[in-house]
Amino acid sequence: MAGKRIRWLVPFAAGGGYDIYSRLLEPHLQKRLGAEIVPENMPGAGGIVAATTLMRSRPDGLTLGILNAPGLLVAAMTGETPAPNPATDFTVLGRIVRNHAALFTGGRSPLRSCDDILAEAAIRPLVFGISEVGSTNFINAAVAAFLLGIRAEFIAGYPGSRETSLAVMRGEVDLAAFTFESVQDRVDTRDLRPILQIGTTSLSAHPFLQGVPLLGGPEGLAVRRAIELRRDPRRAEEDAGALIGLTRTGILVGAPPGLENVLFRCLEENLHETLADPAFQAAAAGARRSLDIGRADEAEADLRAAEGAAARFVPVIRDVMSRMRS
Amino acid sequence: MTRFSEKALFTLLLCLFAVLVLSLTAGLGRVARMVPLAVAVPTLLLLIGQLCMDLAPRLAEGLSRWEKRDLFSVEPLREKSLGRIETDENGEPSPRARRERTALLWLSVLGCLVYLFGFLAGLPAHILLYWKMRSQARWAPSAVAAAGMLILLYLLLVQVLEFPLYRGRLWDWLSRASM
Amino acid sequence: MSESILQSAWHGLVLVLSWPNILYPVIGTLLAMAFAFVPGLSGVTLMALAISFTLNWEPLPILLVFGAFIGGATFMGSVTAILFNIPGTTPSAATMIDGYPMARQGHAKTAIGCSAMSSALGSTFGILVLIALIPVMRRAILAFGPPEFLMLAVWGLVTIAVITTRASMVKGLAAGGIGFLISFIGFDPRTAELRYTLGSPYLHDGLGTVPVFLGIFALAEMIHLSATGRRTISGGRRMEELKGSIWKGAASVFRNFGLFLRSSIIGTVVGMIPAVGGTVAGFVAYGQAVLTAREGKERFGRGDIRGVLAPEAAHDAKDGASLVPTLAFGVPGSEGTALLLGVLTLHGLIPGKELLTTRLDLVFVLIWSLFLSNWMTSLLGVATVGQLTRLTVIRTELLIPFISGLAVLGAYVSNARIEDVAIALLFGVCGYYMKKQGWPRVPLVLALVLGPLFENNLHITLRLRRLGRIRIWSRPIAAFLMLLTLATLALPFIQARLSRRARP
Repeated sequence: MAGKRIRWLVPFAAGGGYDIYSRLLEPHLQKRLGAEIVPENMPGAGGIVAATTLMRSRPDGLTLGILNAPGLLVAAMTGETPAPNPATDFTVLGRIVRNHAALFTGGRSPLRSCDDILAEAAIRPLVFGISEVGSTNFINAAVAAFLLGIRAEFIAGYPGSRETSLAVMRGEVDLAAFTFESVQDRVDTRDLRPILQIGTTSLSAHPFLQGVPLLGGPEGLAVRRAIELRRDPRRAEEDAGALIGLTRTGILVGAPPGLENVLFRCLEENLHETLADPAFQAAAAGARRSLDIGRADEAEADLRAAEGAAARFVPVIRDVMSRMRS
Repeated sequence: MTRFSEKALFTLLLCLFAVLVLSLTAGLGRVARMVPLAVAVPTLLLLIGQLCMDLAPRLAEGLSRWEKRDLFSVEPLREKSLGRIETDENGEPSPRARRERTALLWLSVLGCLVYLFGFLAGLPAHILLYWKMRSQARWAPSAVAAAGMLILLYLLLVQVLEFPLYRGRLWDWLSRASM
Repeated sequence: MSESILQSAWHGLVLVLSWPNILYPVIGTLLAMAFAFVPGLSGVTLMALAISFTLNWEPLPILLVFGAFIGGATFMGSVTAILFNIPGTTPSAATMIDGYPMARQGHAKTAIGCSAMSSALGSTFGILVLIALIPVMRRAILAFGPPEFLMLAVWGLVTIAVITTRASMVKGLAAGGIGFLISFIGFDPRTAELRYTLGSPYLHDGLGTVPVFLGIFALAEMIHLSATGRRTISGGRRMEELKGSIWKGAASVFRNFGLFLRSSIIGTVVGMIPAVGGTVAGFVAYGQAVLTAREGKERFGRGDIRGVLAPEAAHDAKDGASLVPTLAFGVPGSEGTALLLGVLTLHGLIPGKELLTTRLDLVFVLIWSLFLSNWMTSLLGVATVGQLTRLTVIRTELLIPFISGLAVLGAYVSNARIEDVAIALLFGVCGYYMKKQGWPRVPLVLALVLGPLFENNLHITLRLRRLGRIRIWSRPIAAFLMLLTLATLALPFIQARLSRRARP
């Protein structure tokens, strides 16, 4: 790869989270490969434009990209917009980070815990704010609401997750789902409060997550609510696991399908060493970006599991979507 | 084509656009079509009204007089305070039809050159051809102007900023052919 | 103002003016000016491209440079709007309406002088508002929700509708309707449905404003110049025949100081609306300039200096204002501040309470850099106006291929998609015929920009109301904006009635 020029496709606009990871990776990966990496922002269709371009590029190792795996899986799952399937349409080189989602209320909201949520939901439907129907945050909110057995109304159209968080802070919506990292600064300032972790283990060691219940796992809230509502607890645990698995597929680095084995091993190895490099990790920490790196085979296994399991809650999603449209 | 019927044709095209939008709106869900429908219907009515006035200027004139304003733009607004309607150097209204076709043709040439040859080759080629053929400049200054554009693009965008410029469909075809 | 704010302001100023820090805003400003002068390229393009360059820099020079990028681009975009009827940046489009006719009449220097002074003072106003809001920034942002954004969109649309229907009411409203319909193209986030995309993945995100603006104004103008055979932009005048003076233009800001203040206020408030504020601030300010003009209304659109003053004040005031949501909550107020946000995050500076309390001096470095670059741009622009106005005496046949080429390049650079070039060319042809047939283009582009803001916030507001989450009448800002909208609608009728009474 020495002396070559690698096109690095970024599925969102410059300045966003994916762009930041790309810029952080760029100098370190460049040094290891000896090649010049040129980030190319290609926003459009929630990451689908860049993903499609990557999928259709020549598998010569000169075009790589960063992928929003949950978003692409969701798009493939709901079938609304034709999207490449990250499980089958790319050569996955590795994972940068897993997404960890949670439900949040506003800092000044009277709803301060899951018990408050459940009690309030018995009186009236809870209002969730989302940016886009079909987004990962929407899926998290809709499936979590279903598993908790609460009546939910969704208000969509906020321009982005930051604007949605403002809606939660203003109190015009009760709840929203976000990845923890994307709103950590607002959690630190107590503008947002996490009330349910969408995971089987705690999302991080952050002090504000202490005592916040988990959705998944045999002792998770999904199972407890299933028992209370006389639903099948095993199914509830599997559904929660499927949701968590979908979110955890995370941000991946990919190449077009059909990459030669030699090239694949070279790129995969160098990517992993870069991600594990203390200098890169320090840079990521400085930019307050967490890492949860994984090798290609692990990332692919996650994708395959998520792809299969996510089909379980397609009916729930479709039901919510049809209600939103009428 | 007379100026008058061209006016009506343009309005008709806009009407057709509104009709297309309306017809596609029928296939949308209730929420998705709410605002588009509320906008498309009055827009289409306005366009149909304008089309009628374009086809029947006497009617428009009569209505405008009643409204005491040039409601449907039957004739150009009189320049009350500043100058006359634009003329060429001889004081005659410029014949536009031929120049207009030529201008549109050159715009198409620009589009084709960029599409086929990309920016690095297409933009300088356009300048060279335009200066030589349209502006009647000599070869030397035309080549210098084209070279200037090439240098600007190459140095600034390619070398300094490393912006990935579109390379042209021809390049893609040739690359595929060589695989 | 609290002592800590003053101390931070002083410390920030010292940091900016010290050597070698001062080099960063100077070079940043010059680069931004060069980029903004080229149609289609802008300060935003420069920022996006500079992110990689500045990856290993310390936070201080980053803030100095990016503050200069934001401030340096605005004025030069207006220069191309005045000289060529081509908005160098989309917010500059409002300046074209009267700026370009002034250039055609040989008054380019006056227009540029007015633009320079109005820009510099307008940006100062916006920065002062930004500083004044620092203690209450977060409360101020939280006071604006969907009902307020909805009413701002309505007010903006009504203002534009009222002024652009002076020539032909039907055409103005229909053009606005068409702009609205075009704005609906793409993915509907509320229902996940694709609207009017005709199966094309390119249209998933709708039509980009940059290719549409470049096509409907820049390319249309090039076709028009070529089709009419206009010899030079200044109408065949030679350099020595060009009238006008920079100082006359600059003085006009003080002669119309009330208009300047109103426009700056509009730019500040509207500029805080995320994403669209920058583009529409100038147009809304232009609209209020026409509506509130006591005499000579008919001169607007034909080279009235007030038509340059108002949008220039507004869209430079917005520079400071667009930083308010960015610094308070990390919600970008414009494309430029979205990039700034990314850069700040990359270097560990997280907008919000922490930045506004513990790193306030760095916030002031950004503010002072923005202030400095705005004034530098105006002064340098004025210093070079003589050379710039030479462009208006060059034969259009020599200029047209350059400007067309750069406009097409600009359409591509915005998103690196060749389809954007096709859109620009299509709208170039449409824009030309609209101009030829007397269809106003401004309501179309404004409706295109404001349409999503209007529709999104209408849906959200109606849903919130239906769910009992908000009471519209208990929101004073929304109520005030509603009254403002009604006043804007009523004003032309009231003025017509008063003038009929005044006639003997």
